[in-house]
Amino acid sequence: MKPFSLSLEWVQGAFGRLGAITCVATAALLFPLFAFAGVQRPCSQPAVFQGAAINSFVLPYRYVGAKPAEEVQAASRELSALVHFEVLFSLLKYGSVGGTDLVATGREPCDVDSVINDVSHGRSPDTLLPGRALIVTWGRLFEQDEQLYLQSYVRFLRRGEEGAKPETVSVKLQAGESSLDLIAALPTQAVAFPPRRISRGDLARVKAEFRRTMIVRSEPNLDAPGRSIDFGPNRVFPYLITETRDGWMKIQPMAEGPAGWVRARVEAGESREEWSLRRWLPELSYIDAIAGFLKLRTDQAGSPEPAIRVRQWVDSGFARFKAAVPEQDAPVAYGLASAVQGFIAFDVDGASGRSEAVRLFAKARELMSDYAAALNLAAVTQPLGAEGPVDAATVDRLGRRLTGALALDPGDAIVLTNLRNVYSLYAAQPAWSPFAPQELSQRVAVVKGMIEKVSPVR
Amino acid sequence: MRMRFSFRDWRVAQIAYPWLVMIFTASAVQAQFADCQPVTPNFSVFLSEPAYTTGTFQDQKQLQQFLERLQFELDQEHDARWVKSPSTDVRFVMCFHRAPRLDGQEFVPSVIETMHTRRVLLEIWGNLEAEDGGKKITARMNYLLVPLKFAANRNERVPPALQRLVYSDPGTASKPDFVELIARPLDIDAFVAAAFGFKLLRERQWDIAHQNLCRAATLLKSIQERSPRGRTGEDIQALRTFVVESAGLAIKNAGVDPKYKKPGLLSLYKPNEPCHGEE
Repeated sequence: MKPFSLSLEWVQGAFGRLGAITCVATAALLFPLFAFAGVQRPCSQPAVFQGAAINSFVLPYRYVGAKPAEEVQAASRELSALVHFEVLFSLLKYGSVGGTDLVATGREPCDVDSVINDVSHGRSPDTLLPGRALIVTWGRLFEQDEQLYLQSYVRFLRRGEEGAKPETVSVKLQAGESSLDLIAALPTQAVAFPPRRISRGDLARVKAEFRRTMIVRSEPNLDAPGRSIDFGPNRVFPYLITETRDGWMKIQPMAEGPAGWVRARVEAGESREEWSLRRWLPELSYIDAIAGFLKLRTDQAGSPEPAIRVRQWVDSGFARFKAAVPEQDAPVAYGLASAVQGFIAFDVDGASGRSEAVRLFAKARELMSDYAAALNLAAVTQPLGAEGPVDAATVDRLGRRLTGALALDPGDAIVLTNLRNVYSLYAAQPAWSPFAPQELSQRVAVVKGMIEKVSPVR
Repeated sequence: MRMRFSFRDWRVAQIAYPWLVMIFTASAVQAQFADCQPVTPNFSVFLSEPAYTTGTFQDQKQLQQFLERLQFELDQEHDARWVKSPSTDVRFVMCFHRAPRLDGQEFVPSVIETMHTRRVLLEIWGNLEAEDGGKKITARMNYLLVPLKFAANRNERVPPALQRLVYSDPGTASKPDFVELIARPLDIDAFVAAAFGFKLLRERQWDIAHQNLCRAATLLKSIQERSPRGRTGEDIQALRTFVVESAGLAIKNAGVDPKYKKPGLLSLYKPNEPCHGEE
């Protein structure tokens, strides 16, 4: 749980939107230990809990195809509400989190780009603070002959000074008399999970669990009396999570609404026979792992959990996903998982983790061979795994691999920046350059011109 | 008046008959070949009806459902742009009642020309086989790269425009499923990138042609690493060699094109090593 001072900071953010600053002091007195919050609001007005280190947005699971049956239409709404609670609950262990269930208000689907853009730019109380993270989950549903097919997507980011900034690692190589500064980003920060087949029985289960979940009860018990919180899409219902117990969250509304216990984890037990949202949607475990990664990277130390424990959660999240989904069905998800685990080894283990990181980045490259950033990541870190000093041959190989990555995505600003730095090294140490001076000048001009065209990396 | 046939008339009939049969057969094949509407102005991939063995689908309705689901799994529409994957932006179109033969004899020059004009890059169909009560399934899939076929019809030197891949589930899955077996976005994207890159090369868009051709080379290499056997493997190799050569051609042509801004991106590459080790 968070110390009080931090909680107060983000409570002010949440209440500021509601224009009820006086409530802050009251809430602070009543709930000295909250570090978590949730809300349901329309996706046309996205807003984060500004004080939370990690925010989760769940957008509606959109129906694809001809007009769906009423129950399928309802299922798309119910499913996103259940996913919202499940993700929020799984993130509680990371401390300082906020969850928002974004609800479509019109016929148009929620636009993910627009939602992210709204909360990652500007300085209003609805936007992310620099360094804070956001995970966006959404999906689509398709029905056919008593079977449903469901696909989930996830995108994650941390905010920079203006807009989202990519997750990167920096590599400094001593090459002869010069140093070579390189950077590498994750191959992607968005994944489309493979579609899953679900039955009408599963759908009925979603409905039943939704009905049971969307009730605030006096006790953490499904038999306890309660009041529905299945409000319409235009009603904003922000709440604080003041306590958790065995898959239940105790919520306290920040404006109007009922207070009490909400069942957050749809899982009766560990038995394989029992229905579990996490087992049914293994991508939720993947999202949990991504949240752990962001927790490790976020500047805001939301909880005193040591890195080793968070890392175990990341590893177990990916392991649960991999146990349910074979690699050939989800190469990009597997590749990104390798890259994320490589980033953690790189960040947390320092020099001792470099060779493991290099191995994981090579695996990511193998699985995501058409992603320029995956090639860049493997190319830039590969010299760290080699014995001996960085010599002209190593830099030549690096330059060639960067040019190969650029062939796949000429607009990748990070690859361009690395290539510019390699050429700068050649300019400083002409003996290492495979190019004649005139050709090198021409190459520098081309790369600089392209950097100016795309968003520059400084 | 009584008709009389001379020996000469009989010889003419003997020579003409096979030709007439061929012409009528070809016309009949074309007459049965249903048209399919691409999604303009996007580039399209046609998903056509596969042939199938007894027991694969119970009726036409099941076949239609197979195509609808395949389209759902492959066509990401809104979501692909939000996920920002490097895939080429194409629309997958379900072509119900369009069932090409395995040898693709329906794709006569006039059909290909129409498809090419309507920005169709690829047509996918094949043969689905279920054995052992549906426990073991095999799909022999055909991928027709329309811009390559268009070039072949003009006697240009191109590799086989009809590529084939075989997928099989030897009964390991709890419930084998043809859509899950064949919905391999990366394999399809290899052919889409090859077709698109070649089309752009012909349109003298050197930079973007080079990018797509290098991407195709990378993805085709991934297919090769699965070791497709026999003619399939040879055809994939021929296609990969061709896309690498075409990427080199984009570099060479850009160098002599007065309209290409110099020094441009492609001046970083050499025609004999066009994708810098990624080919």
